[in-house]
Amino acid sequence: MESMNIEELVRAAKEGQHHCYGELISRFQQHILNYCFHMLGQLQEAEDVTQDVFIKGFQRLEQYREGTSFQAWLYAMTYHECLNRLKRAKTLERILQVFSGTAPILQSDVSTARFEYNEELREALLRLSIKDRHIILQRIVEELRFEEIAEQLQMSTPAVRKRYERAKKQLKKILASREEGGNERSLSY
Amino acid sequence: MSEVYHTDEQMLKRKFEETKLPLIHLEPYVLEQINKEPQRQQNNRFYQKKLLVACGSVMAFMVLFWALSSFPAAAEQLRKIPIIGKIFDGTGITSIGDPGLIDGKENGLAIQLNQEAINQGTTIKMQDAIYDGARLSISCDIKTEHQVRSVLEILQNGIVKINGEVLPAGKIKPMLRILDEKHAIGLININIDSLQPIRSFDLKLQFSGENLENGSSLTKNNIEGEWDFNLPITNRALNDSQSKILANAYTSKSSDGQFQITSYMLTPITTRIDFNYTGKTEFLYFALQDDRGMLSNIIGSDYTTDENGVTKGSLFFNPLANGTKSISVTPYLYTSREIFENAKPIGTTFPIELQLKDVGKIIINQIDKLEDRTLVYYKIEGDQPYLLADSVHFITRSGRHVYSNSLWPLRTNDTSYEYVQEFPPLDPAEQYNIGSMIQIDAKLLSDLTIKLDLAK
Repeated sequence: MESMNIEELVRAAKEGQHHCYGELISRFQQHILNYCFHMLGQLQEAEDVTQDVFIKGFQRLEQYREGTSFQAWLYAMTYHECLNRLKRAKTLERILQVFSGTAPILQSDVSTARFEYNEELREALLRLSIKDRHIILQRIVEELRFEEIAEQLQMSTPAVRKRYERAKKQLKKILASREEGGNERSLSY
Repeated sequence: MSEVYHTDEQMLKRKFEETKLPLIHLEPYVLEQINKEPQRQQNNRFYQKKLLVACGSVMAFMVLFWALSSFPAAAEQLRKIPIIGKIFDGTGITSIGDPGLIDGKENGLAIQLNQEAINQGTTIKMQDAIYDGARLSISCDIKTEHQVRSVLEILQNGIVKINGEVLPAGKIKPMLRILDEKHAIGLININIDSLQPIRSFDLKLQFSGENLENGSSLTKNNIEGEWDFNLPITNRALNDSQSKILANAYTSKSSDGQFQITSYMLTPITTRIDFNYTGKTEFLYFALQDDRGMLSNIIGSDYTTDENGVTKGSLFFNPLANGTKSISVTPYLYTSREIFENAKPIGTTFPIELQLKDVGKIIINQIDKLEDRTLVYYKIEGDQPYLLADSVHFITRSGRHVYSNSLWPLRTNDTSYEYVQEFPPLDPAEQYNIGSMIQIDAKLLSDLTIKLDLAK
């Protein structure tokens, strides 16, 4: 099964060989989790959405067109799941959000892994629009072509390029600048 | 990275590569779900603590100031701890498990509304409400033929009128417990910023699917109906409430900043502290301690920082014990992004002790695995119990975390930090660890502590 390519795995999964879908999950789950984490800013939300993506992915497998990029298709679905989640999640930063912070250091009798992230990058990303976040993540992290991103977002390729350059510039500016004044913020528990 | 990527993109890529998340293994669970009956709800997920967070765990409160009325003078006595069954079996105003609201209902402060509106296969029922001057909470029951999460969006975008005057947008904060995809119960909290004392008022709520932004997922579901309510609201806690505007004397300064308490309001169901603060606000929290040294549970906050870096807002805690003569409020910050987690397998032997470094210890005394819920009884030991109270959770084999149904753990003893918290029912076929995860390195800004004498 490890030697099967993605198209073969998808075809087999559609034919009822669910263990092949399991292999697809295995290959993509960590990438999807990373993407969701950067889109949503919270690990537990990212875990939830990642699970939803793979459950819905199987339900919608018939919609995937062979010959196109399964990765791009999966990320398009993930983007919309994140979008829906963000639209519902209007409130910022409950106290439990601290759970999505940096490495949990565990005692030796626990089997949970350490995790880390760049805090400045996370915060900077969250200040971009959702669409810009997606474009940045797809282009820089997943190295998708602009044409593939355009198809995901149902935009023209030139529009995606233009938006990408603007988002990248904004991201760099946020990372380079100090914390701005005049920042209204409402925190709730 | 391919050659077409510029140096700046390579730099950004390196930053992204610093993200190293825990490894997940979703295959068993996902395959289990897709192998089940097609008509089974695929959303067999953990309960909606996250949704409750997402819906807005900001309690909305009214800012009112009026003449002093004496706080009920009474001999020191324990605050009544609601019966556990009532907490977690709550309906109406008690459905979220807020001890203050439960107390308020038991003491006759709730107003019966019993109004419902039906449209587009969706019934929204307003059951009862409590308004104490510090907060307005209305219980609701929502049943729909559509996705109940979609109805939540409608609630969030509702129009609020107080005696005919429209409030600015964003004042409605729903807090719902989703029972299934088509049914939810919970609270609608409304922030009514007003400096005029209002003993009673006419509240009009207008919910409409047409109020949503373009491209909302709801338009695809065609939930474009309207649901209107005219609700008479009365403050039944007025005679047992106390508020005070404080002079500038209640200010503290240190190298960490400046903290000022400007006013407070004490009601039978809420303690509200209004403040100004100058200093670091990232991961800023507040601890309130009464004159017995017991920490009060915070139930919400609402503040903003202006362009001059001054943070102004309000904090909301559970009500104080009768006879409380003074309180101390202290800001604290997390100085580190470091998270610490400790988890142990659940067996038959109790207690299970979870040491959280120097912050403290959680002692799990009992876990009741019921058919429709799981109850965890635990005790906290340490100098900073406020950091640990709401940190307990379960962890499945695949590493997913199971959080509590309710927003707050219920403290079962007024003089110690013993709690019970409700979780979803556990899967008998699954093996769980029970754990606690906290952000360590909280810095209590003790030099900024302000003590308030309530009797004065």
